[in-house]
Amino acid sequence: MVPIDGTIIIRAAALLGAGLCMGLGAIGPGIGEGFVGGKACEGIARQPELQGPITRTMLIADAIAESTGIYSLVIALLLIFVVS
Amino acid sequence: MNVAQIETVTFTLPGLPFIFEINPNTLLTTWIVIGALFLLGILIRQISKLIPGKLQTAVEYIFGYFIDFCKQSLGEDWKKFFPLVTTLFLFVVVSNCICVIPGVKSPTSDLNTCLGLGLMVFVIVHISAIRHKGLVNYIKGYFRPFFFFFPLNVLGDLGKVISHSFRLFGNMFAGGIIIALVGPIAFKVGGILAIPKVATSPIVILLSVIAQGFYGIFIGIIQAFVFAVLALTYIAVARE
Repeated sequence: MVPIDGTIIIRAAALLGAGLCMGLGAIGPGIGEGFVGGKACEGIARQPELQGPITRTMLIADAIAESTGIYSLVIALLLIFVVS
Repeated sequence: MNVAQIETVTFTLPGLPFIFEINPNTLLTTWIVIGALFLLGILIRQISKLIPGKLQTAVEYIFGYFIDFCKQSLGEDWKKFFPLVTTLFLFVVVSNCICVIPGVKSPTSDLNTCLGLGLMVFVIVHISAIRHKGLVNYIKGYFRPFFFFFPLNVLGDLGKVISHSFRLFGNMFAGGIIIALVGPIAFKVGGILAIPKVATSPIVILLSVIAQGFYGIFIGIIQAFVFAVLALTYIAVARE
């Protein structure tokens, strides 16, 4: 049994916060990327000859929708490796 | 098991008040990647013929794709930025895919490489924007649509650097962790399920290979493409 003091509580809170941060922060990019992918599928189904440009635009839009997820990853890494 | 640790070496030079810190793994793999690309360039130059072989066809396809892409985004000035964008793509794709060699960590799973590339793109974007539009127009662009948007525009530009470099870093770092974890976990689960000869059983090896193929090659190529295309997009947007 480890004696519980302040540093252990801070470490536990930081790790818990990192988990929550990644879990909640992944919701938005998930919804956004799914939306982009679905719309791209609709576009390709309507005009199959435009598959190349649509896929390219979809990748860029995916990357931009991912940004908020990346920010939460940064915060989670800070919590894991700097705070705790 | 600490999969995230990066070995660093610190040293001081006599007469200088700084402490230098280098990551020998990253440095070595980066130089290996640069050397491999250099040798590939020389090889392509040697073997290129009028009727192309397999390697020449592949390289010409990649280059033609990026030439088309730069022409679409930049119009007349595509020749200025095509070498930069293609070099970024080639460097990032080789350094992402090098992690399929066992024991080698890809240099892009170290934040220093990614942040360096991101800062380089940032500087190039702004210098090219100033040279293309002139300093006055460039500064005016920050006060658009009206005066109060200045801090928002500045923060947006800084956020671009962070998201651009952390996207590559985050994907490759997480992929590296998953690659490092899949093998031991499959080994332990196989031990619990009492698979005979667990270390050489095909299913454990297959799981590791699938993880490496997906996170090393598939995600690696997509992220390298996204990195190069976003650099091109930032350049094109800043020049408008």
